[in-house]
This record gives sequence, structure tokens and C-alpha cells, in this order.
Amino acid sequence: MTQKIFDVIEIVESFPAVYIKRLNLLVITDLHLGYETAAAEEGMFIPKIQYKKTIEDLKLIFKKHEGSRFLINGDVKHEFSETGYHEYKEVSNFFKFVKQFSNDITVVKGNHDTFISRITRKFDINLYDKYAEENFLFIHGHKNLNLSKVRQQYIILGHEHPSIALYSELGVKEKIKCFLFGEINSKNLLVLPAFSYFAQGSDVNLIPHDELLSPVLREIDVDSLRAVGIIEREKCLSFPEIGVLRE
Amino acid sequence: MGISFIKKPWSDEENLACLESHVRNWFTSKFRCLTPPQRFSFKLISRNRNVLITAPTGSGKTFSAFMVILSDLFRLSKHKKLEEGVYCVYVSPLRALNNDIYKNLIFPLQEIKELYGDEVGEVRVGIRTGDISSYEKQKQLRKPPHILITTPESLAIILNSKRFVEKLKTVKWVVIDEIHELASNKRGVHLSLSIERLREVIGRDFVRIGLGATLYPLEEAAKFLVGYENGKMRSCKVVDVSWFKPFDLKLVCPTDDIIYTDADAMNALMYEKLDEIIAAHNTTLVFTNTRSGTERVVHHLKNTGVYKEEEIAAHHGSLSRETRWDVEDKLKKGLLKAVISSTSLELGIDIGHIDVVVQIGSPKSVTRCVQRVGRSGHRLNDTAKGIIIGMDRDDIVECGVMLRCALERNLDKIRVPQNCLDVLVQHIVGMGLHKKWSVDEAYALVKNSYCYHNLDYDIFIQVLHYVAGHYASLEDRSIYGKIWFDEKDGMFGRRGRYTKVIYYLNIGTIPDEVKVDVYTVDKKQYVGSIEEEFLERLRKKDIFVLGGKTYMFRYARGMRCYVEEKKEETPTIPAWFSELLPLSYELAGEIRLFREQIFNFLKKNDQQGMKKLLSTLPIDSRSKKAIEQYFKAQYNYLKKVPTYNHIVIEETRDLKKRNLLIFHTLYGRRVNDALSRVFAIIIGKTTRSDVLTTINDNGFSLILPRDIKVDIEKAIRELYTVDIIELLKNNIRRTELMKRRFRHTAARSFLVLRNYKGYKISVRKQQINSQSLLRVCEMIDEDFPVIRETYREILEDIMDIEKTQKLIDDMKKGRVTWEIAKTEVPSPFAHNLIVLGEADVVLMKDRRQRLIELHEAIIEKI
Repeated sequence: MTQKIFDVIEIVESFPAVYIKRLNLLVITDLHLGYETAAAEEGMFIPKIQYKKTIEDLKLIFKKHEGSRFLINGDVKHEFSETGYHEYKEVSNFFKFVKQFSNDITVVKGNHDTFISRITRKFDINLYDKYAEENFLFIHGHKNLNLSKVRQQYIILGHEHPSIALYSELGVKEKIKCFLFGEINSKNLLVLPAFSYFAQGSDVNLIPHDELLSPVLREIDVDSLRAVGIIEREKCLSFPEIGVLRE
Repeated sequence: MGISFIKKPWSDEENLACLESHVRNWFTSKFRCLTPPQRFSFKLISRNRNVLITAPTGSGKTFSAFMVILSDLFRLSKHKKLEEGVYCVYVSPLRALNNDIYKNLIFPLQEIKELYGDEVGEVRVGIRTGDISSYEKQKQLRKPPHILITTPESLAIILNSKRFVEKLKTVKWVVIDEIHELASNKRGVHLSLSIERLREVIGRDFVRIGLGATLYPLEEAAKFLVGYENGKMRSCKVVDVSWFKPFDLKLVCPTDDIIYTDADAMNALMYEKLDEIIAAHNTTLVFTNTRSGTERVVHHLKNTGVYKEEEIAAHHGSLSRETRWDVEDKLKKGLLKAVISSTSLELGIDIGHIDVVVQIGSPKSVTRCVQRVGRSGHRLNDTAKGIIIGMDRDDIVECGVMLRCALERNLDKIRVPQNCLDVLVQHIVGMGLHKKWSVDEAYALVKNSYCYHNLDYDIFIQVLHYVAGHYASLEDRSIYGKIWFDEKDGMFGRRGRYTKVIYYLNIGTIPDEVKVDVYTVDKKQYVGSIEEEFLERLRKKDIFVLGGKTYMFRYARGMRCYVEEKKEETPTIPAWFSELLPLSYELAGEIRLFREQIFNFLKKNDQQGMKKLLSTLPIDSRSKKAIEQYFKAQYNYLKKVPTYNHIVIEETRDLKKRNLLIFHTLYGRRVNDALSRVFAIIIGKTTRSDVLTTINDNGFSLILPRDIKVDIEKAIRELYTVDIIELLKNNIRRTELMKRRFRHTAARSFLVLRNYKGYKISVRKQQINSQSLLRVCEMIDEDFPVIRETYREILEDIMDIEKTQKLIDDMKKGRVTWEIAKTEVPSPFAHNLIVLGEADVVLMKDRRQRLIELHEAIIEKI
């Protein structure tokens, strides 16, 4: 059974991705390609598995929604500074791959996407600071947003990498990536989980409001939002309001 | 030849005859006669034998090792055969000790040289550690010290210094001091591989001399010292003169009524006893087991007004190096009345005269007790005097038995860690930097170390693949690989521009010691800091005391811990829990045996027999009375008793009316840690609920949810069939313990560096990184070497998986029996376990109150 959010947005199986039928649009966020290379520069030699896994997952997602358009809601790449060689290659290869499945690709700029215009230009990909279509607004979420000034009904955010953290009695901590959504000031807000494997997520049910990464989320009552956790490639788990989970 | 014990010493004349005339004359002018270890060492070392000598501090160990070496060096110099190279490498784990040794050698060298006059040239001693300046290094290159003093880490670095390593080709002796401090941890493992690499660099074998305080079994330490040569164990002569000092040991109980004396009174009596002892001696060394305990005792003593402020001092790891040196210096000068320590002063430095060692609460192992007491009576024929002040009933039983074992020389066993893969990684990198290797050649070298003599070839290959970065794609190996490895050709060698720097800056086995900052969840107020080790142990909703207030653990993020203040809630885990050393397995066995004997007397109503047994323990009459009452209370309440091979599982309820299952398994905390987890999982599965556990050395308790009935027999039957290791691994996998140990292992394996390209990477960053890393490594291969080593360390070094499996096997085969006992209130033996969270070395009011309540409940029932 496909899990829906706000009726108009579908979670693609149990992937950190959504499909908006009305727009024939697949949306993901926060890929952070090149994370491992950046880490190695800092003396942490994480094996490079993110890219491979990203491609594998996307193949399955595209298969489910053939011919759809594609939008990445920010942080395609990881490295802040000048795009390094390895990262450049990885991001290029990534777009090359995506172009096989979709010829309408949009990228909304995230805070890590400095200098990405070089690559998006090469592949003829649309790059925006924020993107609006019909009743939907897509922004990364790293900058302030005056909700009352937004004209669209649905607001899709990234940046936060939300997760739910649960501790068991024996001291075992489980961290579950999740979609965060709810009605705020009569707008429908949806925060997507990070597609990246290495996303160091915000445990939204544990950390205090002012420690959230997104200034947008810091302004609202996060405790009233609900969550759908995903155990990747397995299943979705519905949770009640964050406030309830925050013991 | 193998390992053999030498029991009969040679005469002073025979020994002195081994020395050159001037050296001999110098020695006899300074010392009237030889000390016990010297009566063996001069002869043995002059015969070029590998020797392991264990002797107490103050018994002339330094000279026992160096006299012959100095003599040989001077002889060579006389015959103009002394080359410009290192002849003796002396390694000790302590930098301070190295400075002492250096000073102790300079004088003899100078004075003996004067006796020779022009006949000899210079014989040099030098230190090489991390502190050394490049000027010094240059000097050492031009004029290498004939005797080189260094640390395990520095030795590994020297092996890779292209030019200086050439000067080691003349090495004839390697001396390892404080071997008891090295043989049972990773630092010793690291050293053992360095020694084998040294052997390979030099191209011929050398004499190995091991010095240390008492330990057992000596064969194990000897094997660690000498290792193998081409698959055959090298020979070693073992000399054990650690017992020639007479021991005067006593356990005292400060109160007549150990249960009903309330907390304040108990403390007061303890301090009274302590004051008594300090007043009766010149300098007293006090051990308290925990840093907080140390601080409190120092605080108290300074406030009594009896002593001058500067006569009392604390010494523990949290103090700065300068502070500690200052204390050690004052000790040497005899300026202190009392030094209070947690554990640091256990390490052997010549700290001057101590008349008596006092231990507050149990030192937890016979060996440690003997080592600590051995610090007293520094002159050769002094008696080593030790007094333990018992603070509760289990303490008293434990220490009583411990002291008897000490007098009988019945020590606990050391265990040399086996197949530590992270240490192996460091040396493979070092070896690769040195030259090209064939896999077989390298494998043979590694297996020469006793710590790796059982290493699987497949695992060795796996580690090589890891160091070569083969888990990364071809094009990325330049980033990840520290060696290139061609499996087909069976060769490997160095790789990477930064590899040498990485090796130099990240070598070592001691993880960055970290304090975890504690903040409140709501206001984010800083409330204090806790040890990382303690954080490892915390479970959700655990309550602990910090800075006098109680807090509940909510979550941890990197190196920060978030808590909620919980006024007046009882703690579930004592703040010093991670600091407290575990009871040794062997001593636990002795105490189980003792229990059996006492219970037998009680069953037969043999008062005489019991009194006789109690009199074999070096304890005062109050302690005897306390033990008698303790066992009688247990027996009168519950006729089913735990003995050497019999476990009692008590089904009961605590004062909060929670259902408890108490396992009276006196096997030490390391076994109970593993066993309790296994039971909690099995029972948790069948009851579909969470099971809270509390553990200590004497057993563990499971707190069950209300209205849940547990089928213990069924659980035990399942215990016999499950794969314990898999079960434990699954359970440990997501705990804080695993995450943090993984960080340590990842750092040792160079997967996450502490120092890279000029930047010191904060521990906080290392920690966050390590968590993602753990998941990723598992995805690649569940048996990723770094993961495998983390599990091994947790299961073998922290817990005791071997003994746990043995116990379960014994239960299965009926060699260990068990029975269930139902009680309405917990039996006396369980009380300490129940009030564990509130325990403290210097007792808190609450805990005593609870113990009294529990006891009253018992009396009512009897």
C-alpha cells in the first residue's frame, strides 16, 4: 500500500523519495555526493559506498515511475569549497545517469551546492534558489522563510535530515530516518529525509527546538508535526506527533 | 630448553666475578651485598640468557639488569671494540620512570669512568621519547647512546627512522621494565611486535631481559617476553624473588555493627581508623579506588586540623602532570604524611619511603593488592605492611579471602591479549614503510610474537587487504591504501605520500582520553563532566549523581551528554561504576569456595569449625563477627545457598514491589556483564518486554515488568542452545559501548585519524565520524577487520566470553548446578546488588538507609 502524505504526495515504497502525481514529479533531497572524499581529506577514510547505493536505489525508484520529471531539493554535493576533482566527476556521472531516465531535471540550490552551476550548465539542468510550480514550493530550508508571505499551499523542505531516535531499555539507540509533515499556519509543510547514506540526522524528538538546523523549522511548532519513518527498502512506520515521542 | 625456573641463587662472589674489576669495585664500594634479584641476574645475563625477573620495588632491579651490561660495555671500550651504536634498548611504559632510570645510570657511568681514567672512552646513555628535540636527535645520530632509554611508542617510531635505525644494528640486549604493566594490554602487544621487527632489522637475535613486579602465571609473562623464533619458543629463565619481603596484612572493620551503623557514623569511624594509622606511621599511602573517593578523603584529612595542609596530597590521573610530579618529589623527600591515590601510584617509580599502605574498600584482585602493599617498606629488609579497611559485608568477605590468598602467594592470572588486529595494522604500515615484504616473511615475523602466535593466515590476508584499501574502488586506493598489496605475487610495500606522517603522528594504543560534557536537556546548562567510560555504560533512564545532584540520562550526541535533573530519585548506577576494577575470576572462585566451607559448617552447626576457618583469614575480630553474622543471616533466611559449583536464582521483590530475578553468580563482573545480557535477551524475548539489569561482581539482577511470569527453566534450556557470541554481538551492536570502542579501534587502525595533515582532529569529530563509519563498514563486510577487533576487545578484554561460555557449558553438563528460590524480600547476599546505584566508596546516607531497611525486612521474616 502506498503511503500518502497530504493525499497528493506519495512516498515511493520505502525510499526517502516522494512522487507528486499532479506534477509527474519525483523529488529527493540532500544527496551529499562526495562526502567520503571530503572526509578522507580530514583523515577519515570512509569506504566509498554512497554513490553506488544512490544509483541502485534511484534505478528502482525510476522504474516505479517511468518518464517522470525529477527534482533534487538541495545539497546534491557535499564539499563547500571549490568542487574538487573527485566530487566533480561523481556529480557529473550522477547527472549523466539521471538523464537516462528523465529529461526534465531541476535542482534547487542547497547550502552545500556552491559552484554547482558549472555542472548543471553542462547538463542543461535548471538550477534555482527556490522553485514553485502550481500549488507547490520547493526550497532547501537553510534560509529564513516568512510563511505568511508564501502563496503556495504545499511547502517542501530539505536540509534538516530528520530522524526519530528511540532508546530501548538495554541502552540500545535506534535512529530512524523520517518524513516530517503537518499543517502550520494553514500551510502544508513536508520535510524530506536525506537521501544520503551519511546524513548525520537531527533526532527531532530529542533535540530542543533551537538546535534544529533549519531556520524555518526553528520558527514553528515542530512538536505538532507527525512523522513517517522509513526502514529503507523494507517498510514505512507511522508515528504520532513529535511532541508525543518526546518523553 | 623452553621456559624454566631458577630457584637457587649463586653466591655474591660468583655473581660479582661476572663483572669487570673496576665495575665490581665500584659496586662493592656502594653496596654491602647483593639483593635477591641480583644474586640471579648477574650470572644469568652474563651467560646471555633471556631472563624474566619479578621482584618488589626497592630491590635493586635496575642494577640487577644493568650491572653486567655496563660491565660488558666498559670491557669493549677498554679493548677499543666499542662501536658507535646502540647496544642496549631499555623500554618502560612510563616516561617518568625513564627519567629516573636515566638518572640512576648517569652516576655509576661517571664514577666508573673515573676509575678507568684513560683506559676507556665514553660510554653513553640517552633517552629517546616523544619529548626529544631535533637537536637531541641529531646529537644521537652522531653519537648514538650505547644504552637507549625509550617507550613502546617511541621504539615503533625509531624502527622507521631511516638513519637512526642503522645504529641499532649493534643491539645486544633489550630490557623491558614494568612488564606486569604491559603484558596484559594492547600497549604490550604493540611492544612485542616492535621487538620482533627489531629482531628482523638487526638480522640476529639478542638477549631479552624482563623486569617486573609480581604476577602470575610467570610462564605466560615469560612467553610474552621471548616469543618464538621460527615457530619454536625461545628459551627463558624465570627468577621469582617477589616474595622475599615479608608481608604484614590485615583487614579491619571500623565498626562493631556493620549493618546498623548509619552512613555518617560509618564514615566517621573509617576516618578515625585512618587517622589512627596515619598518626602511627611516618608516611602512609592510601588507595581509594576512585578519583572522587580520593578527593573526598584528602578534603577530610586537610580539614581535621591535625595535619598541615602541605603534608597531605592527592595523586590521580585527573591531576596535571606537574601536580603529580610535585607530589612524587615531595614523597621522595619525606615531606608528606599521607598520599591519597586512586590507582596511578601503582606504577613503579622510586618514590621514597612508605611505611604502610591503606586500602579503603576492596582492591578487587590479589595481584593488585600485593603490588600496592609492596610499595611500602622501601628498604630491602623492611616488611611490606598493608591494611584494608572494609566498608561493607561483601568487601569484608572479599578482602578477607584476598589477603589470605596474598599470604599464600595465590595470585590471579594475567591474560595476554591475542590477535589484536588494530595493533597489527599499525605495524604492517610501519613494516611497509621500511621495505618490500613477501606475505610469508611478514606473516612469519608477526607470528613470532606470543600475542600473535595463533593468528590465522586468512585473517592476516584480510588485514593486508584492509591496509591496502582494497575495500575502496581501484581509483580511490591512492587515498585509502597505506600499502600496496599484490595477493597473486604475495608481496606488499609502502604507498601514499602522507603514510609516513600518518604513522608517526598516529601511532600508539592509548585512545584519546576524553571527558564528556554533561548538559541539561531543557536549559542546556552545563552541569559537569563524566568519563567517556562511564557514558559507555549508561542506559536509557539511568540515574546518576554528578556534583551532588541526581540526573537522568536522556541521550548522547558526540562528546556531549544530555540529562534531566531528577530530584530525590535514587540513582541506578554509581558515578564511579566504570572506574571500579572488576573482581578477578580466580579470586571469585576462592570466595565461592569459602562460601561453601562456611555454609557446610552452618549446616552441621559446627561453630568450632567455622571459627577455625575464620581464624585463617588475617582479619580483626570485628570482621570475623561481621562475616559470621552475614552468613548466618543468609542461611537462616534462605536454606538454599550458593556454593562453589551451585548457583541460586532468587525470585523476589524489592522494596518498591518490583519483580526481581537475582542470580547469585559470583564469577566477577566481566562474566556477569555477558551473562546478564544473554539472560535479559532470552527472557525479554519470551516475555516480549524490556528487562532492566544491574550487575556487580557477585551476581546480577533482572528487573521484570509487573505481572509477567518468567519460566526460568525454559530460559536456561534456551541458554544451552543459543549461539552466545551472536546473541551478544547483536545486543552490543547498538550500544554506546560499541560506538565508543569502535572509535578507539578505528583510530588504532588508522581508519579515523587523530592527527592528519597538521590538524588535530577533535575527539568529538572522531566520535561523530565513527558512528557513520561503523554502519558503512558493516555494509561492506560484517567481518571488516576494524569491526571484528572491536567485538573481540569487548567480548574478550572487557567482558570475559571465555569464562562465560565455560560456565554455561558447565551448567549444561551438570558440573554447575542451579536451583530457584522464592523469597518475599531479597536475601542478604542480594542487598548490595539492589542498592548498587546508590553505592559509593565513602558511603552516602541513602544507601545505608536502604540497606538497613532491607535488613529489617529480613529480620521480620526470620
